Amino acid sequence: MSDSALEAAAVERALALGLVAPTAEPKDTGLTAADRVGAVRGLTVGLLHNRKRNGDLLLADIGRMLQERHGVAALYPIAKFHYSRRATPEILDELAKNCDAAVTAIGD
Amino acid sequence: MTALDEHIEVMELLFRTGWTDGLPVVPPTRAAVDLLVEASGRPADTLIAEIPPLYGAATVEKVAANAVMAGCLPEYMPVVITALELLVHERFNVGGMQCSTHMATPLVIIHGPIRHELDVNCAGNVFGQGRRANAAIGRAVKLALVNIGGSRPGVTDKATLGHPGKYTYCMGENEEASPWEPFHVRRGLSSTDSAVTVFGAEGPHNINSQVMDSPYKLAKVIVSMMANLGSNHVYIQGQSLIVLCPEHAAVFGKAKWSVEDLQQFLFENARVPHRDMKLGGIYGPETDKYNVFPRWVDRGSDDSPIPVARRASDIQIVVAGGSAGHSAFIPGWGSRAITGIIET
Repeated sequence: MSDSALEAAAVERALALGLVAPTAEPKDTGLTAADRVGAVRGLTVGLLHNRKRNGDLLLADIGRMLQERHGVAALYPIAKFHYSRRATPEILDELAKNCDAAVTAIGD
Repeated sequence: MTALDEHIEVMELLFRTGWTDGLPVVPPTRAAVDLLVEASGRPADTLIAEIPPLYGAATVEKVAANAVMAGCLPEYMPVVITALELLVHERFNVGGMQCSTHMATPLVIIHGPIRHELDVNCAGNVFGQGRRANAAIGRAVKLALVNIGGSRPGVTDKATLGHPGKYTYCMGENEEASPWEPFHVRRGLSSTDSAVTVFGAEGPHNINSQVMDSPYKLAKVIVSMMANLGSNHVYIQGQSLIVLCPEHAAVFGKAKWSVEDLQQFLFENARVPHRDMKLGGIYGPETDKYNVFPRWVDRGSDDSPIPVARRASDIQIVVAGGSAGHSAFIPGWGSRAITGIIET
């Protein structure tokens, strides 16, 4: 058995013994992935930088390749306030409003 | 097979479930969990927090299961619950901490009368082994964060090193040995309140100063620990914590220094040359591109002394420990210390 299968079997056994699981299921956010855009020719692509060093350089290269090789019409660079925090709803709304697709990258 | 043999078998089973921190745990039986739920004074399905990164629901029952495993007595439950409520405060950013490559983990600090009721160690070896309340409360908080929040080492917890406080990290404030008002009173609560503070923390770094004839000399020793290139605070202008031993605290108390006086001294003297920050650290040569220095810092000069916090009050000071001249500097991670009353 794999490690995960062994672990699942142990959990099943523990629960059968009447022990209370200390774990919780991941929250169901109700979010689903957006429809894929397929080809990106003629689209505007957002570049979401997490503000770690070099993440912007990586995104700049990706943006340039998307334009040169895949015909992306425009780029929309944007950065999070801080790398350790999630992108705010305002940033996500701005991306959704101005872009057809987005790429994110982390640096270090 | 004897009952003791069966107990060992269950202990081994619990290791295989992935529910433990690598040490043996107390089996979370229905009866034991119910006892802790009852001690919380809240229904079992009461939601305490949704803990990132997976935002699992920390109900009272789930928290109790982790507290049983950690070795908690029923009366510890209000402390564990309060700590978890504080940890999901937006300004703490426990989600980032749970997944970070940095070593930080939450430190739980207990204030007020409940320290005596629960026999919390506030004095000698305050960060060390030997006292059930400190060990079990800190461990329960950490087990809940991992088991409910889903920060599994190597999977979602990406710490490069971690530190031993990730097993348990809980201390009491030695209010009786402090020349100042207790920490939670300075933050607006009453001395009759029992309270918890959570702080995202590296391990304690010793400040050994047996010379105690001058507050200025002693403060300079503390400054030497704070002005460094390896901690987060100078780059992100975040908070840090000084755990002052009673003998060191008395040096400042006898000289009539207030907590604010000490904070101001540390703030004004713990500075890192702008030039040195460009050597490495978080941003290295790109320090100026990402810095969040206060506006009054002259970014144009490599000679500028960079403060290790945005403001003096971000250098947190709490008194704890036993005799002799050993204090501790605890660098932060980037989150804010959050304090709240323990509802019993």
